Amino acid sequence: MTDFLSQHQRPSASIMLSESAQEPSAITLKEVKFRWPKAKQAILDIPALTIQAQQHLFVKGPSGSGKSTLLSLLTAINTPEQGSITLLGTDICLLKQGQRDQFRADNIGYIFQQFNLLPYLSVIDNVCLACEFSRQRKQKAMAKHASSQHPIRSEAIRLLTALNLPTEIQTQKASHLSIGQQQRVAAARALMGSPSLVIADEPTSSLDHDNREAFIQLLMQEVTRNQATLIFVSHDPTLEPLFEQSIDLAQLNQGKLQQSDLIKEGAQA
Amino acid sequence: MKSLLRLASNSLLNRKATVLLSIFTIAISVLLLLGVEQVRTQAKNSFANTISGTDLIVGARSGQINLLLYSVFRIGNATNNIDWKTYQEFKEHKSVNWTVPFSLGDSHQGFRVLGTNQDYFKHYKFGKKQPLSFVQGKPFDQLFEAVIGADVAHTLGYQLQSPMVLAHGMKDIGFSQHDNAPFRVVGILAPTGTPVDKTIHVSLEAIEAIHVGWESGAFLGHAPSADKLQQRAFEPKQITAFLMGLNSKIHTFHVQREVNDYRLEPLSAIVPGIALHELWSLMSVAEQALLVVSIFVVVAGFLGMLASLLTSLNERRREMAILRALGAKPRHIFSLLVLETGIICGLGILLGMGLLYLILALAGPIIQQNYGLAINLTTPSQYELMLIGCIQLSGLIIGIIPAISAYRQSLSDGMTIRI
Repeated sequence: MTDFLSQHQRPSASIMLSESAQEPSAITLKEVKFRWPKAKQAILDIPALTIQAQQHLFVKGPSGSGKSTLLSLLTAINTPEQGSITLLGTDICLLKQGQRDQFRADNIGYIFQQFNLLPYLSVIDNVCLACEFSRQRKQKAMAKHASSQHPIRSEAIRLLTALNLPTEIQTQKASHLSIGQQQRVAAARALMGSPSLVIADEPTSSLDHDNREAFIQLLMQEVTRNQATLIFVSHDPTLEPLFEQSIDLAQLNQGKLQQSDLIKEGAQA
Repeated sequence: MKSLLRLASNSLLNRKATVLLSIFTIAISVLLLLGVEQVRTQAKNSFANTISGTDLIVGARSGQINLLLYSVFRIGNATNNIDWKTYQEFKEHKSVNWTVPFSLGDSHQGFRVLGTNQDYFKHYKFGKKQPLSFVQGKPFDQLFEAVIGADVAHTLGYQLQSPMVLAHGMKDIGFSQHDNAPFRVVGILAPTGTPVDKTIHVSLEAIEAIHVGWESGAFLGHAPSADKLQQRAFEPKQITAFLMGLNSKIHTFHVQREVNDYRLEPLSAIVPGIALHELWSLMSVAEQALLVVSIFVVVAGFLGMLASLLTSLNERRREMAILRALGAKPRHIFSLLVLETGIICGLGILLGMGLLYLILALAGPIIQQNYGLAINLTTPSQYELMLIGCIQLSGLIIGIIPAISAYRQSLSDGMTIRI
């Protein structure tokens, strides 16, 4: 019965998000199933998902829809039990753990919900940290300021300034900043060294409404300048209109359906 | 690696209070361990330096430790005496360069009295063949003159010309005092850090003189006055032991055999170095116990550090997740934590050593003055370096415990922190 259902749902769940077929896809998921080590049922089951490069995608996901799991897959922290995930043309399921970490360091800028920064480093050092684990990003950052004495710092300062963070707070300890400022620093770090993918996990949930929109506008502007793909995950549907594309994880994810079926069956038994 | 080091040091700086406490715990345990080691080596050295330059000690037949204890350390009693003629015979022996006769048995206020002759001040050496030196006064010359050690002068508050009455045996009770013949202090010796400091030196003749009337072992006859005794010439009949310096060290064992095989009375000759070594090995149990205690203190220090590291780990899951998101591999997280423990441990060791040398430098002059013990500020010995190395290594090994749990956490947490 489950098979039947998933087969029926598959065409609707498989969403082609971009009209222009020539654009290379940034992310492709095929038949992806994921189960946490101790869980009996797959928490995530995505038959197909393609996200085109340079898109700004809003992923709507109420809590419990497998949002965190999807993010752990898209950031190559975890690999699926079945299926394949291709990020920027690389099938990350074929990579070893160390290679996946390196892939993440090189290609993904990540923004957490909150507490994005190491409290004991200065704002600039927090941003520069993005280059510590990736030679590729370091070189990209340096290439932009070839004439500068400290090219990496110059790039960090450029990004921070672009994100409306004044010079005087750039040298402060990260813990001294307001939450709104912290999130902008996190955005600067995610954009440091121009990674191709920027993934944000509810980055605005701790911001008030005005700051929320301003933050998203700034983020999108810088992502566009970097020609990166933005995946913005949130449970807040009011943000949806700000994005050109959006998907609903609750619809996309078959795993949840199975699980709720299971709960129903369990209740009946 | 360089960036990890910077991260580790910044993160430690951020947790100053707990990190400082951990560093102090390690420092104190290092201080104790190295301090015990210092005390042990210094004690061993000063022990071995109690007597030097003497080739053989001769006394009545007994075990070598007993002979060493009563002749050098003034502990316990002689089993028997040596006849004066026997002493004379060995004094004239062709291999013998010098001798110093010892006559023990009397005391003054708990300090032993040693009857000897002028040769004592010439030939008795301690430490690295240092001779005895006088702070005040000179060697005894007249019958009722005494030379006192530094401790005696200090404890009893004696100065030159202070009068003193010797007692028979070790008990200072009224009727066993040689009060007919009071002595006066003519010389005070510089501190040596050896039993010499606790000794009162008089001439052999004086020992004979104060025992007139005590021939049976207790005071029976009447004691003549000091003036009368002054006019008599005394020749000792017996002595307790004597030190021997040989012309050549090669003859040591030959002469020792000769003494041990002496027909006319049963004698023992010991080589001080060998006897001191044997005596020290008797104390090795205490030495080991000290070492074990200080090792336990080090272990306690490590457990304290471990506890604070593990406690902080949960608060730092966020930090690990951020690093992971930036592409840090689990092994980076692992090395970060091992590095942190390494830094704490290393700083603890440096602080501990600094404190130790500071204490030694401050206490050294005081100890030198009061106990005559020279404490040398030397670079750490090979053994100490080995101890330090062991501490640093165990610190790193202990660092593996929080590192493993951070490694596991960072693997399972990934991007989401479930607390």
